[in-house]
Amino acid sequence: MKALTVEAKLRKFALAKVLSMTPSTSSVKYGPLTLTDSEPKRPPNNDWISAKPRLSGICGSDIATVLGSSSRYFEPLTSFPFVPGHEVVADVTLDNGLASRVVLEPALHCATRGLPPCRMCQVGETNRCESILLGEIKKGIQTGYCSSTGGGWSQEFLAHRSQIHSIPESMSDKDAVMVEPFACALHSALRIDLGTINRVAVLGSGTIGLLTTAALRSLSPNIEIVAVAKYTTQKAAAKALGADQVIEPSVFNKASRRSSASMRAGSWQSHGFDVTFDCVGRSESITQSISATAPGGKVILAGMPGTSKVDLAPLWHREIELIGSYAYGSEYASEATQDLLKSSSVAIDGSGKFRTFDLAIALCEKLSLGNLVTHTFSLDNYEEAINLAAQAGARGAIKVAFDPRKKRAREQENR
Amino acid sequence: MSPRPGFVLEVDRSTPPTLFWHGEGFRLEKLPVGSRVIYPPEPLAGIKDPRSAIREALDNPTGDSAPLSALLKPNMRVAVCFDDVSLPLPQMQAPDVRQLIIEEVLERLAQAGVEDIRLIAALALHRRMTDSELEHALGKRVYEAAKSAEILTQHDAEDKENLLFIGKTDRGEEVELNKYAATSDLIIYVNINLVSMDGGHKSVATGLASYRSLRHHHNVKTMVHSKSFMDRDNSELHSSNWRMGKLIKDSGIKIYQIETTLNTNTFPSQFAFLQKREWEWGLKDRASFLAVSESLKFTPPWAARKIFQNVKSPYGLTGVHAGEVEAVHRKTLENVYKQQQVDVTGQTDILTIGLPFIGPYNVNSIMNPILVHCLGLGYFFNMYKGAPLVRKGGVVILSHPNRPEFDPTFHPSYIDFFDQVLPESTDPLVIEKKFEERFATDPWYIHLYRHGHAYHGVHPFYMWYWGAHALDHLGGVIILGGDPKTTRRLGYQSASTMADALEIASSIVGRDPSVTHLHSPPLLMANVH
Repeated sequence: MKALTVEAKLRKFALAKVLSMTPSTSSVKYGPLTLTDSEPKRPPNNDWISAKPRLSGICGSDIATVLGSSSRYFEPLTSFPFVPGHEVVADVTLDNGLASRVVLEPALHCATRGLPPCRMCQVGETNRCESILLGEIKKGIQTGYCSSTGGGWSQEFLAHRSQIHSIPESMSDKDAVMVEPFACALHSALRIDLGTINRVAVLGSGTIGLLTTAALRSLSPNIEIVAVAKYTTQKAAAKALGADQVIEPSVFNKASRRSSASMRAGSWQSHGFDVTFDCVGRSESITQSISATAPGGKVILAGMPGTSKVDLAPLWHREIELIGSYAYGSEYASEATQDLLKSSSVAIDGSGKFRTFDLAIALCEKLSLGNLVTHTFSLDNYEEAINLAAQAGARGAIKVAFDPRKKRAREQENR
Repeated sequence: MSPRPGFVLEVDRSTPPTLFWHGEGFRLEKLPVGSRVIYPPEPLAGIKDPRSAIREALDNPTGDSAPLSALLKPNMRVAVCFDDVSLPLPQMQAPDVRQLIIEEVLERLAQAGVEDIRLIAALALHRRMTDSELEHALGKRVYEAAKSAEILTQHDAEDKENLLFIGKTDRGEEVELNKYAATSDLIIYVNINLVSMDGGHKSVATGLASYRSLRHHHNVKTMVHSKSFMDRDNSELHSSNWRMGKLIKDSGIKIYQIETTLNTNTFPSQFAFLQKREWEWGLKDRASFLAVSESLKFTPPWAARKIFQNVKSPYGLTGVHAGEVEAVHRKTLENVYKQQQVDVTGQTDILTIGLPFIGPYNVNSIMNPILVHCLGLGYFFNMYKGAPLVRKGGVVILSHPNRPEFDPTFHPSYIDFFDQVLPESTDPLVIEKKFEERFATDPWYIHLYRHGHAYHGVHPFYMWYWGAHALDHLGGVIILGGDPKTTRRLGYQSASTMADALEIASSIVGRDPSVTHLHSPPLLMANVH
């Protein structure tokens, strides 16, 4: 079985990080990721099942990991060696012997670890699980960061039965592989009360930014969305997914001032967007987001940030809330979401909550989010795949995914 | 020898290359054989004694009006309003004609014992003039006296306390004017008519109005139906202003209009070649052209801009008329046409225009891309009577560097318009509907307009609408030698050579197109038969 494996080799992480800061494209080649061939893992018990990926997406956090640029905060929460890949549509064989296509909800929460639910899992907030270091499997916040399970960048990995969701026959693999990142975007959008705001900005139009735009538009047809996009493909996609206006990054703060009819002095402005979704996660984007947001407004960190240098004086002075948004779990069914949940046949539990993932599955096909998958690669071609994903916008790509069934010779069919 | 009239040259093999303005520089272009070049009339002789002519005009008014002195009484309140820095272009050599007139007017006000006087720069939504610009327009003596007496003001279209709603025209157009002027016993308006669009009822109805009032004629529909806005009788822009003028008159506001016309002696002696036909260039002209154009090649744009913006025109006064607005304006138009009109037979497939460094809205500033659009497709395209020089579906080729440069002090809302509006749409109707009101009511732009020297937030929209008739009429616009990315932002095509531009244009209008070049400035108005 072929798999792309990240090993705990500090020198390789360091080399990848250094090379990734240069024009060189060899950072992947000399980094911690290698293509291995080994026996598939056997399910430890009947709660686990073998899954054969059809498509597995390359996420921004994956790129940061293999290029050695992600925050070292995650080191103690990860078990090596691991196989990345948490955006997965896969084939499984169910107990009744029937084959099924499933998408993976990758959080390795209490249920996957054979543990009683922690305080967070009890209320459906599996993304905040307290047990990520404990239980029957090794530490890891998600499939794709845990050595016990394997991950989607392989021909086979292990999935806990609580992690898999069957998908309708009509749903394409490309739509399905977008379910996981779209669930992240829905969760980001649901971190705010959409019924109380009028104007939002989505800073960054990579996959997360575009999906955030799509999520916001699905959840709130009347909200005004200003998307910030750098590249032509991104601009067109942002518009198609429901942005009212698409602007260049260089004019973001000017647009914020103008659209909110603010006064301005230096980086201070009297008003701004009600909420800004930072889908980039860099110091500059966080700084821009804080400046562009109205006093008392919110900045949602939707893109994975790392160590950042940000002047927090504007945040303090203008009483901005900086809110993290990681993965998803359960959400309260607010008045604003009732109609959408009903039309999407998403179940609401007794406490008035629904699973984010359920809504993502219901909407992905409807919104044709598979159109965002612009390139697929075999595992053999991982260097090219990751290099493309790392420069997706500039090279006209959006979501890049592995198709582990694919052979190198068939790469020509990429687009 | 009397000045020669305008002239239409047919290019043949012996015709020397044609001079094109190209921002703060020039291009010499060899036009295809058979092309036409329209040259402006030579400058008419200026009045030898302007002060006497002014006195004569004030004492012998035109139309149904008494002489100025007869209208004046002690204890009355008088607003002396004057055209702003957007006229003339370039600024004229001192003394400015406004200075000459206002000195004479103030003299008469003093003789009549009128003490309640205010000088008002009729800015509409233009930027406030700087102190040096005011001093140049009014002359040092008037400027300093008026400033120290605190009677020198500039119209503030956002000063709600100092605006007066006059009423609505029979078409429902709201008229809101400068309150001080509207409640004065007499408005004396001092105009400079550089092009036929200026003056008449537009002076007060536009120059002293607010956005509430201006939006009724400064809009896409009006501009598309102004064919052209340089032709008062076929201009919906003017029809609206004339309706407003009637309402103003009917409401009891008294206006004593003083209009002036200038000849086209636009450039001082070192640039004399700009006013000559190329085949008549003498040794001195050729040497001047070479010296200027070669040195400009090594001059950074900001420095070249400074050189050109310092040019002061040796204009001569060709007419001054005073009295009743409409009668005065008829005389004015006669004078303007006498100086600028050139008879042209038939339209053309392709019209080429060289855009100079200056337009009405970038005096002492940068000709930004929005103003390039306005100057080319607004002003020059509309310099016609009868029919546009270029046929329906034809192409205009504009020569200009079209750099993405803006003056953040004068044109802050232009920057946002370029960055945030044009990427969304270049369709004037879409832009008007989606963005205009937000820009017009933006408190930051209002603050900069009132307290800085910024054009009003809505002004870039008007500049875009100024080209609406052309956009509606043309099959394509090409910018020759312009920054390609900026040109694309405007929705136009770019070409680096005239041959390329003509090739692109041919793909729109067909093979073997007719080509006409508008050899201006100096200004000319084509009377197309």
